[in-house]
Order: sequence, then C-alpha cells, then structure tokens
Amino acid sequence: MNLANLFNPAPQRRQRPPVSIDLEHSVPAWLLRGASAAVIVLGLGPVVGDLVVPLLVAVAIVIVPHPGVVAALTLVGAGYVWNQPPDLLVCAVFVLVLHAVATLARLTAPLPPTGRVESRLVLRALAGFAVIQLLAQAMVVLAFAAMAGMPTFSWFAVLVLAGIAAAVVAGVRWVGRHTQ
Amino acid sequence: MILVSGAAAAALVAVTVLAIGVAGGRPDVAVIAVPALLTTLWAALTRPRRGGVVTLQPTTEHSETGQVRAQARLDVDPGVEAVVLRVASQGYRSQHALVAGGSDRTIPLSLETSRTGVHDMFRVDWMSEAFGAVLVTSPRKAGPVPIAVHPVARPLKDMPLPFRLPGLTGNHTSRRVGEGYETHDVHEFAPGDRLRRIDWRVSARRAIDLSTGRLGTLYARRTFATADATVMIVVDSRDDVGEDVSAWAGGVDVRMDETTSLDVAREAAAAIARAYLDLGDRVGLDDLGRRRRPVPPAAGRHQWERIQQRLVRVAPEGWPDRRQRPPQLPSGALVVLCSTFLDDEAARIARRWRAFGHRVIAVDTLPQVSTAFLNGFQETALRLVLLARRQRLRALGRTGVEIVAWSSSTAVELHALSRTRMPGGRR
Repeated sequence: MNLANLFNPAPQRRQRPPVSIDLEHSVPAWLLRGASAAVIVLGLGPVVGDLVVPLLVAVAIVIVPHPGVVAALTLVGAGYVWNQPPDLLVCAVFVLVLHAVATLARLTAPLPPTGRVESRLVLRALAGFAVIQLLAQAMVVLAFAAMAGMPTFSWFAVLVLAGIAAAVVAGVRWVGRHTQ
Repeated sequence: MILVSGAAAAALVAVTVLAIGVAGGRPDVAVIAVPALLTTLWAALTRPRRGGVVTLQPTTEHSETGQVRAQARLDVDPGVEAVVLRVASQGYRSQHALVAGGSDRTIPLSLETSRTGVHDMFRVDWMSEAFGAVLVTSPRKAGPVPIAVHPVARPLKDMPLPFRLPGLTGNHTSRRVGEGYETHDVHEFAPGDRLRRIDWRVSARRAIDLSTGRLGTLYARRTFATADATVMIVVDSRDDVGEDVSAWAGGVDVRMDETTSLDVAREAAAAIARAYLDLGDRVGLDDLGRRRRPVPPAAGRHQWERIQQRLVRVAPEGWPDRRQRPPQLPSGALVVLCSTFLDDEAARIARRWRAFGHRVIAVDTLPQVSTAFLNGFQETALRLVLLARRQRLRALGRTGVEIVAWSSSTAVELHALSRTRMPGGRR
C-alpha cells in the first residue's frame, strides 16, 4: 500500500458540459429565490420587529420554494396578525409579502436553482400580481374602514361561513372532476 | 391535468384563514387570504381544456463539430400559462427552464460537441402548468432525435500521389506520353502525332537539306499526359477509444467534449477526401469494420456528399470476423488507412496492400491519451499496449507503408510525403 496516496487528492473528473435552452431573455431561478427571501426579510422584518423568524422563513423559502411552504407561511402570518391588535400597516404588508412570495414560488417551485425562467413569464406574473394586489389592498382598506361599523350579529357570521362552506364544496367537486 | 398537492394545501389554508377571520370578526386576518383566492378565481376563468404537445426537430440537416442545434416546438392551448422543460442529452448536464405558454412557439436548443457521427440528442421532458400552477399535466417526453454531426474538413494543399496514375485525364502529370503541358521530348513525326504538335523551329533547324533547300523529316513535340489519381480511403471502425483510457473498457461514459479515435478518423478521412476531390481526383471510401459495399471511387461534388453520408455513419458494430483477404481496391490506387493500430489486423491488411503494389499511407488516429484515472496495474497494461503498438508501426514503416499521425502538423507531413519520390513503388 502506497501511503503517499493518502495525502494526494484523487483526480476529479471535469463537470460534464451543459445542454443549453436558448431563451431570448431569462432570469435564473436562484435570483427569483433570492428575491423571495429579500421580500420576506425586508418586508416582514421591520413590521414584526424581529429578524430571526423572517430570516428562518426566508431560508426555508430559498431552500424549498414550494407552495406548501407558502401555505405554512400564510398560517404563521395569520396567527401573528390574530394575536396583534388590528393595524392597517401590518395587515397591508402581510398581504403584500405573502402574495409576492406565493407568486415567486409559483415560478421557481418546479425548477432547480440552476434553472431559468423566461422573462416574459416573469413579467406576465408581475402584471397579474399587480392587478390582484391592487384589489387585495383595496379590500384591506375597506375591511379596516368597515371595522368600526362591523355588524356584530351572530347570523352574519353564520351566513358568511355557510357561503364559504358552499364555495369549498363546489371547489372540491370541481377538483374531483378535473383530477386524475 | 393533475392537482398539485402544495397548491391545494395553499388554497385550503387560504379558505381556512378566511373562515377564521370572518368567524372571529377579524377582517384584517380574513383579507390575508384574499390574494390567494383572487389568483385562484382568475386562473379558473382561463383554464385550458388540454395541456398541449411538444415536438422536437433538428434545425438544419447538416450539423458540424462544434455547436449542434435543435428546436422544441410547443403547441399549447391558450389556457396553458407555462411549460416546464427539462432538456437532457447523454453525456451532458440537463437544463431546466420555465417558459411562457399561451401560444404556439419554438424554443431553440443547442449543445457543444467535439464528437462526430450519429448521436441521439436532446431528450425533452415537459409538463404544462395551468390554473395558477395548481394544475399540471403528467410529465411527458419528446425525443431524443438522431442527429448526424459531420466532421469539419480541414483544408489540405499538397497531397501525395499514387505510384501510377492510370487515368486518362486530370490535373496531375503522369509518366506516359500524351496530351498534357509538360514537355517530354522532341521526336520524329510519326503516324498518330497531331499536326499541331509539329515543332517547326526544330524541324527547320534539323531537317532542311541545305543543298536542295527541301524539308526532310518533320519533328513533333511530345508532352507528358495528364491524369487523375485514384484514392481509396479506408476507415477502421472497429475501435472507438477516447482520450480517457479508463473508459476504454466500458463502464465510464466517453465525454462528449473529447474526441475519440473514430472522430479523428472521420475528420482525417473527410479532410483527405475533400483535398483530393478538389484536385479533381477520384476518391472512394471503405470501412474495415463492416462487410458492405464500399463507396466506389468517383470525382465531383456528389461524390463528396456520398462520402460525407457514409463517413458520418461509420461506427463500431459488434466484433467483426478476421478478414482472410484485404478488401479489393482499384489497380494503382493510393490507399489511405485511418486506424489506431491497437491490434494486428489493420497493420496486416496494410502490409498486404503494399505488397500488391499500392502506395499505402497509414494515418494514426489514436488521440493523446490521459492516464489520470488509471491505477498502477492499468498503467502498466497501457504501457505494454502502447509499446506493442509502437513496434507494430515501426514494422509497418519498414515494409514501405508511410505513417502519418493526424494532428495539427499533418498538413506539413502530407506535404513532405507529396515531395517524396518512390519510383516504381519500393517494396
């Protein structure tokens, strides 16, 4: 046995060359993952007043940009808002950040970090994001405007819950019809 | 289309948050779910009926060593928002991309290769997304497509000629007397000589009888005939070994950015064939590894295309039987044998051709080998194989076969061979 071999690094095979998908304009998936993380840290950090939890969430979304992670983030966000007194700024920022992260996760979820996303698709997603975000922020403002005069009748909540239940049942039936 | 579990979980969470917010009288909590629900509503209104089809096709029929291109054509329904593509090819890292759907379009694909021959390239795995990436089609594949990568024919100028030029017309000066440009001698006019060949000056100087003033014998100027050469290029397709010796025995993929001996042979054969065809000579092609009809010698552009087509399909096929007789060649042909000479077969056949009186040029196509991944035993074995090969080539050189290694200086070596005089064919 040649002991000198223990101290000599074994030769490494060169990396195989890549196949190229020649898109005119594209964005690397790692950049979108980074943008997701930046949105979480920069958006939620100042609002929450703590950097540890946003950083952990940002790391999670960078590693696994999966819609399931976004769903968990939505739950955590809703829990945080629930425990705080109603605040327009906090609510608006949460709506903005969660929607942005969900939009970016949709683009990066099926790709590894080395994948590329066509710029046209990013722009299209951003356009949809802008329209929906406008509507959502308008609803945030309306919700806070209505907070003072919110009906306190118990039947109102029952009606709304019944409507949501009907929507869920319709949704489940639709999914059942369109899923293998 | 299939429901994505993560997206379903996100939608369920959104509905739950909305319900909790409403039930708890907290609209600030309920509105957090609004973007997800609005996105879902938007996507539901534009959902497609079906996913679509992706087809793969090469861009041009003539691909050369270097960049090879193909196209992925997407035929998708208007509701399809995006298509996930994973493009792979054997010996390459795969690449992923998410491209916009919505209309039919073409995505260009490319890869860099140093290899030649026919290879299956560009396998595309794809699935289309719709309904805000909540619904996807099941993964499908397109390709791979067989793409013929032709060798680049390096320009060569001065080429060696056979010992005899049997042709009746061409660009080379033969040793026969006939129609040509270079003067052979001045000879007494004889039946068969053309009148325009009469050299009146010589006739006047040597044949006028000064006493009578009459012209006696006429003299005609004779020239060397021009002729074309017949060149037979023989490629030994039995070996296809690369630079990495550890891959010679199989088990390790031959890299696509390194040339193999057969790539070198194809390149050498293409360059030599092109050079001779440009000179107006007749060129044929045969394969030492396959028993099939050779491309018979001919000249012209169509012959170049025939040789290219045959050359790109030259590939190892099983383990051929030992040939009892060398392939038959046209009389007086120059033989260019492209081989690695790792065994005796090619050398034995080259010696037989030389013994038949052909001029034989052996082109050594073994690439510069790398021993980085060999252990001590394998290195010793390689050293023995290369030693035996060197002895084989030396013995071949002693029998009169001229040996050229295909490299950047091959043009100079061939130029030197074209200047070598071997009258009558040294045995």
